[in-house]
Amino acid sequence: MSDGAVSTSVPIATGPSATVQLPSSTGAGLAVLRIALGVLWVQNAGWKVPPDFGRSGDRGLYFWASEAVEYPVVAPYSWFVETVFLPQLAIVGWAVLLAEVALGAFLVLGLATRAWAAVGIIQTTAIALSVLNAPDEWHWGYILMGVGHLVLLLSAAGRTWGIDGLLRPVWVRSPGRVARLMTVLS
Amino acid sequence: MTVIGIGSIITAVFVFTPSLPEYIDLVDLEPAGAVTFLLLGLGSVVAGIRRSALLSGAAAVGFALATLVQLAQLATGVVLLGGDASSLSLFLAGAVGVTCLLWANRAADPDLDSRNG
Repeated sequence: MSDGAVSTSVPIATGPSATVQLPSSTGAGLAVLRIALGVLWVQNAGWKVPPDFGRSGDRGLYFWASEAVEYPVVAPYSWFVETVFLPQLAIVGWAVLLAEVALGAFLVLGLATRAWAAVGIIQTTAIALSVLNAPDEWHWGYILMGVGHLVLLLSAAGRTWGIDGLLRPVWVRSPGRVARLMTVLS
Repeated sequence: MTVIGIGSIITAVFVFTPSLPEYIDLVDLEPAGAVTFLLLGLGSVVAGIRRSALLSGAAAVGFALATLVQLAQLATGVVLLGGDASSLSLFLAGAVGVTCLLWANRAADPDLDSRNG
């Protein structure tokens, strides 16, 4: 290949500080991923039904949490579910329900996206530790859920088509502690 | 604001999907909940188009009240708007979203209230 034969408008990274121009569709793609994962939590919050969360009919959250005991993935987590989670399901169930309600709402909106993506990773891990060894489970479903939230966390996906993108300039200019915190969380 | 309003109006469509497969019936909605999403969505759209702080505030309060009603329904088992935690999640999104946008608009244009009443 002779000198000058190759011409490109894309800057080439030459070191850790070099910037790479991404296609404008990248932000849109991240926004679609964020909204899709938000809708995932919206729908899944729906089958957490108080007050007994399925205990009386051996279904719902009670049934799926019980899978951690019947088909253990990690022994300490099975012990935690058997001795803490299931006996206190009326209380812990509300925590799960409210966490998933908020996950859905905030990921769809793109508000404090990095923080909620981290919560999503934790919740995905808890679900995976409950059901990964249960019959007919597709392990890649949970791996993809976790990776999807990791992408939201690393890419700050609320800054495109999200409220983070609108409010972040205000937070950056503001000297308040809440604004500084929101700058980190977004 | 307009986008959240359109999203709320689209959500009302889920009242027609209970007989469809689970991958389409994403939100559990009864007629009362659907009408609430529809009215609050229309209010948000008008608030966005007219850039009205008053209408935006009313929409935010409406979504917040719907969120509380839905929460009370889940806690007590007394059916008010119908639906489940999926509709609660979207009412919460409306309340938080409209409030944030109202705040952002005021931060960007402090005279918004005096112009739009």
